[in-house]
Amino acid sequence: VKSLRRFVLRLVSFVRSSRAEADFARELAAHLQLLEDSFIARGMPPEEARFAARRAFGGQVEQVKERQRDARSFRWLDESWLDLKLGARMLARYPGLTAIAVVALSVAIGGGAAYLEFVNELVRPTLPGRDGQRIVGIQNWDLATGSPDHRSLRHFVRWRETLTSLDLIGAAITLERNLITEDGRSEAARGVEISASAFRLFATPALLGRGLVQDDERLGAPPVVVLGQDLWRARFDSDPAVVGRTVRLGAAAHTVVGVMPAGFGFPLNHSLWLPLRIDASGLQRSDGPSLRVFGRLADGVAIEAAEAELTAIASRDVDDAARAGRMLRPQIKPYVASMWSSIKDGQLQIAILYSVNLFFIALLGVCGANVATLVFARTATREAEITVRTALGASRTRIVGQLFAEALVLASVAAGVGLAAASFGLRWGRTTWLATATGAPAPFWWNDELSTETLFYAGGLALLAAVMVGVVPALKATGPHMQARLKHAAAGGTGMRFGGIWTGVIVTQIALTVLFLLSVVSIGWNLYASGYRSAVTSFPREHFVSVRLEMDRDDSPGASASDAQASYRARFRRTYQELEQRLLAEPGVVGVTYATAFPGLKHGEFFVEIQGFEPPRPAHGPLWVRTATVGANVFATLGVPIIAGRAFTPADEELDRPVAIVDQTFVQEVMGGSDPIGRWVRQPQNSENDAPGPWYEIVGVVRDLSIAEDKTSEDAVLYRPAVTGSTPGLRLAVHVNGDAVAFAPRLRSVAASVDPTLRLYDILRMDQFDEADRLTFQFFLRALAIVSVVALLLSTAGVYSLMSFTVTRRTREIGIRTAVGADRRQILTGIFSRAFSQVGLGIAAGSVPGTLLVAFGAPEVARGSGEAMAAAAFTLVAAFMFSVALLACVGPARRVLRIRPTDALRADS
Amino acid sequence: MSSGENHIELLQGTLDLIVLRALSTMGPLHAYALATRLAQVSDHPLSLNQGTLYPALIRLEHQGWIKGSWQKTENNREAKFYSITRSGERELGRQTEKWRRLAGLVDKLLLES
Repeated sequence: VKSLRRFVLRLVSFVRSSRAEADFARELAAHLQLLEDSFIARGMPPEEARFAARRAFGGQVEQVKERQRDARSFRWLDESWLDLKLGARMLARYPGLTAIAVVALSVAIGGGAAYLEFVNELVRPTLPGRDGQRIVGIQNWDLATGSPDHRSLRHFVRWRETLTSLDLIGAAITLERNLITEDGRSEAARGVEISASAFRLFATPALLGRGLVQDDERLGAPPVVVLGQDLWRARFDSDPAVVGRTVRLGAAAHTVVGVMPAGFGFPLNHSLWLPLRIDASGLQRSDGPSLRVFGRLADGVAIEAAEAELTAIASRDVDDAARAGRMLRPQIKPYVASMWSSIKDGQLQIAILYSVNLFFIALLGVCGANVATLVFARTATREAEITVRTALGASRTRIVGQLFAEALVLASVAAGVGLAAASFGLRWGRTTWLATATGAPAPFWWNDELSTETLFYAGGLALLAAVMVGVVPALKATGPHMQARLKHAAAGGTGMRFGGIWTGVIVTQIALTVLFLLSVVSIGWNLYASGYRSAVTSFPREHFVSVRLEMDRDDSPGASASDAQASYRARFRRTYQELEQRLLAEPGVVGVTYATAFPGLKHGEFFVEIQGFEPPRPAHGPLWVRTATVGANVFATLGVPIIAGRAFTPADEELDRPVAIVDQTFVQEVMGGSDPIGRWVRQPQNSENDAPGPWYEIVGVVRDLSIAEDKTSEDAVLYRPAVTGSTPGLRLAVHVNGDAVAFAPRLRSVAASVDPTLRLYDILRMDQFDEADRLTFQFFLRALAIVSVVALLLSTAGVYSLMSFTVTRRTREIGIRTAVGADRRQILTGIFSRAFSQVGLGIAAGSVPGTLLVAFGAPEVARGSGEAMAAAAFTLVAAFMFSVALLACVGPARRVLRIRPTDALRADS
Repeated sequence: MSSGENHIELLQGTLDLIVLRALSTMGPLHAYALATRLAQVSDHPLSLNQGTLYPALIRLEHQGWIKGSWQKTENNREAKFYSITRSGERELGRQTEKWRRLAGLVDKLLLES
């Protein structure tokens, strides 16, 4: 109790230190006054009495204060605070070092934090809300195929009636519908038919109106819809009076009853909710639509207990299952795990994902070692200060502590900058890149805030950096030779040396920079060759607007699957024909066609076998080309000429004739230039195809749609005709005079007037297809550029500090040599030869693996030119590094030339 | 160091005991009076720098054994007077007992040899 009391009082005294300080000063003054009074009373003159009082007191008032402070408060706490303040001041005093260190450390810390956050979101995502951890998903696993069977409507009804260890059990069926507002605007929206219990899983209140309620699920209840904030903002202009308005979803009218806030996207990333109305009578097992079942663990129930209850229910159904000839096993998993089963299950994958963090720790190690070199050089310039403080009685711990505190401030600033960048990068990745690449919003449980765990991780990295940057140089600088240094300090020179460790660090750092720059060359080369190339086409892409077409299916339970399919195709075809006619009647529209893929989009693969002809096989793997199914008028509409043979005709489509058209690249790369007309081609039996495909007769050769250099057989395209309706993923292309993007709204309204269930996705001008690729490409290039700049900054600073330090240390020697008449050039050579040999050593060490990487990592299309590229890259990088080193020498060299013998002599006296 | 043969090094921890004893006998004292008192009773052999009293005073105050308050001296000067608390009295008893036992033990050992 006593020590606790003492601790608390010391703490109070620390917090209110100025008050305690003033009180003690007053007490000391009173004490001295009393002493003085007593001396005066003994007959001493006042002036003398004052000195006598101080002598009697023990002389050093300040020391007494210091000792009292020790007893009164926590001195280390006081000192740490002082050290931190001093550290903050050092940031401003050395802005160059601060900038370099913050950039270098923040890249490593921010990168590590962003990566950890990303992996955690992926592997161990948590649902928001108090009950987030208790929300689960239920799936049937088909034991025969080892995959989930989502057609479990009948099971869902049974689970909901019998399971007691779960509450709020519900199901969701994803649907895509056109949302048509009162002004006639029609756009596809991703919605879900869902049980009302979903709205009670989270305590999220509706932004406007209400969520879905139990009564909405009743068959025959008025049709209602709840909107998400995104949709409300985009389609209703955030109209506060939206509740009560009527919208159409495809063909059916619904009343808006509420708007949910952003962040509520249950079950995944949805923004439109309809009540799920089930008529389970007459349903057989594994009948009905695909659905997801969810629920919440009842209070105090563990997931294992719920699973046991579920298994017990399922075992009663065993006979039923056996009759169907299939075994289904129901399984309960935490909600997100039930959605991301593939990643969650792979322990090895998870371990690999997490171990990538080691890369960032290694990066921090490299950056930290570099910054430590710079800090050591700075510490050397403060040697006199350190030595004098040591002489005045500061312990080594105390000085190391101070340098550590300075490094901690530096690392904390870097961590702050890094975390801000990480947060920004994650937000950019989530909103811009993910949305462009996948065309869908992120899952609702991904949020912008960095988790506490990530913040702690960044804190840990910052601490690690501070130890590297502060403690290591401090230990080196306060080593056992302080006495000898004291002499040097008095002489004005510096006794510290850039020893073996630092030389090693600099050589390693230059080697890493060279290796890195050469890797950038290699990666950039590969990216350029294989990744994004802004496609050039033989037709004016900017005049074509393209859209993916889909149509609502009529899932009436009575009809058989094949009948439903046939009627859907016929309906789709009729709708398409009407759409085509209506579009052609629009002013400015020149032509309308369709295909499964256009240049810039992903094509299908077609493995090639040609009757009576042996095409050259590629170096590795089987021969394959790209393929697309197209409308008969596609080449005429695009304006690309048929070079040989004939174009497709409407009859080819109608009669489903086995014909194909190939492009020029096919003729060159597959046929070796010989005439393909009349040849028969098919897909052979291989690992991808169980049986050989049908034969197709090549009836024509078309000019290449996309133009590029160095095309291979994998760029060749084989076209097949098809009617609309029979191919999924059909893209419509409209040739427009003038601005193709401006035509998009008109296209929507025409489509909506033809059939409200016709849904339009990804309306893009054809030259916008590779937007996602371009963004990814840009992202990689930017990341590479940032890390290159950091590496360059660090090595330049490292070389600079080495040079600068060498000059400072050898001031005396240079002065004497100048005095005895040495040539200045000779002196410069002498001073910098060591530094340049280090740079040379670093370049040599880094370029060996680097050039090998460039030479053997040459992209496919540039095989054979790897060595030439490696030589060129090496020359460039080496020249670059030497000029950086030279540039870093300029300042110190000028200092050398300014040293006069008198300076050196003065330093010596 | 140079105060001659009469110099006695104060044993670690004995300053607390001496201060408590002085306050218990003399009543409230300020630091100067306390230092003077210590010099008087020891006939000056304790070459106590008056400043060294303060860490001991703050330590005793933190432990709740003494209490300081600002008052006027007889010459109408302001000074901080320290008085012993009830728990300080108890502590004085304990420490005195401890000291006696230690001193007796040392005495005994010295006599034997």
